[in-house]
Amino acid sequence: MERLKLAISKGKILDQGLKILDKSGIRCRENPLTSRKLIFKTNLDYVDIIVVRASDVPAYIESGKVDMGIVGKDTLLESKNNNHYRLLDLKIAKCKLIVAGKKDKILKNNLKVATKYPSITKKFFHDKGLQCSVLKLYGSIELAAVLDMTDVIVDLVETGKTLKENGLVQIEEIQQITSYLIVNKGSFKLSNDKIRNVVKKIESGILL
Amino acid sequence: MKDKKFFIPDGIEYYMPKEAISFETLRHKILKIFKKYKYNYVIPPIFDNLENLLTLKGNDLQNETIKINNYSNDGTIGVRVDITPQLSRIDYQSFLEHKPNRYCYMGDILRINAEGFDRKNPYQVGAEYFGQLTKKVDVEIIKLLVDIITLSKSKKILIELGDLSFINLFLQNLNINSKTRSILLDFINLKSNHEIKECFDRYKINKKHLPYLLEIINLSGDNNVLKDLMKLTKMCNINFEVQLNQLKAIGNSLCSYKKPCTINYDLTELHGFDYQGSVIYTVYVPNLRKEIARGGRYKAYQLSENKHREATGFSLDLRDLLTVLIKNSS
Repeated sequence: MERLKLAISKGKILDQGLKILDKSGIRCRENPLTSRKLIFKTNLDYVDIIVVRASDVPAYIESGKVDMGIVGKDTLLESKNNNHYRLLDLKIAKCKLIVAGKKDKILKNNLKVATKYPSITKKFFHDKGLQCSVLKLYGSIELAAVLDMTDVIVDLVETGKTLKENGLVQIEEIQQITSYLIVNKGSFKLSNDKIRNVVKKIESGILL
Repeated sequence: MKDKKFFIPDGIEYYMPKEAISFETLRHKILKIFKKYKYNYVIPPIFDNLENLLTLKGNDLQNETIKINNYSNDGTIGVRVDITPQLSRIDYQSFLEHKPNRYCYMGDILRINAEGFDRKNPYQVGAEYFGQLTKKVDVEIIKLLVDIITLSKSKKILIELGDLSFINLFLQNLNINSKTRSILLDFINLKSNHEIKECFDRYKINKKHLPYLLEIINLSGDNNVLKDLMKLTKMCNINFEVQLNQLKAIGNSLCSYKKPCTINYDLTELHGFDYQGSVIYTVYVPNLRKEIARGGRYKAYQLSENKHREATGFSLDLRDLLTVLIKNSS
């Protein structure tokens, strides 16, 4: 029997995603949080789980080699891959994507912006009719604003504690972020019964 | 020592002898199928006057076509991103009232914006019927398509039938502006019920028919879904009985055509260039990450103030067909 593959983003989404899967009755035979394996068999004979870097999930789904994925909305908005359906909002790994900077900074033309999300940032500023220069960074985004390397930053915040400790404030909210269950369109059509079955289980897990 | 590195651009595919022979063999087999169905083979040029490449209404064509200034005659030429508009031009030039035209084609196209897994140089194969459209015509052209896809030796061929006019009517009834419409269409295309609900809230859209829309989005499948679709479309205040019966009749004529074929229905699949308007179809086979072919009805060009030349047709990428054939043969 052809087995479905479900990719889960590493990090917080993996922690919380595994809890939802557990409540849904889908359990890995080995613990993905401690094992170095790449593919994990589950108690369902038609579902395997793979653990990948968050930003790679859309590419795996696009390739069709992986049928389903659990991934943050931030990653989906940044990715150009769209050969998928967003079937469920899992309401996990909640946070928000914001523009932040030093106190009194305002959004205006020709700002320099540091971010992990250049596409979302460009779109947000363009929708406001503002031109901006984007500097792509891969971590500790706040530092760019603290050191005045850029005027503002666009980043995810959960509680705002890191911003506060570094003397930064939220200037504007771009989007509330949660994680979604996405499914490759071809897989959804060709393995519809099996996928609907998994979706139903996960849906019941969210409600518990 | 060889020190020259001959790089080819990203996303461009070419074939060495073994695959090249398989590719040509497929091409010849497809030509025979076209002949069997009495579709006339034409070879339009890869470069054409821009006007000829953009004869169909649709922003996608406009945005993706590569334009080149042609200083010799003050015009602009383009590299085609789709062969269908050229076929409309050919039909227009040979148009005779009350006479249908059947054309088929094959050729390179350039999708310069393709990224990731998409190739920039698909080899487009397709057939177009110009004239009055009936269920019989749809069945004829989909059977032709199935015959071509059967060359891939796929054990399962899923044909999904839909009708774009339902979503068009639903959105029309909402009285929303074009920007909101486009946002909502994106979410419908993603079957993202959560984001559709958010969109209704954010733009204060009348939610009277929203629950039925969400049910329709989740309702795709075989013959059994048609009854519910009939009920739900009615609840959306849209009389869709004629269209659904038409889809059912097309599906019934196709379901026993070839052994690997199964028929599905989905009213919210919104694929492709935005020039199609009513009956559409998408075909899926295993071992391909996306659909293998898609097609549907469209208005080819205007004949008079209230009259259009109707057409229906499909296209697929021969390189996809070859990829699947190689996987199925190994």
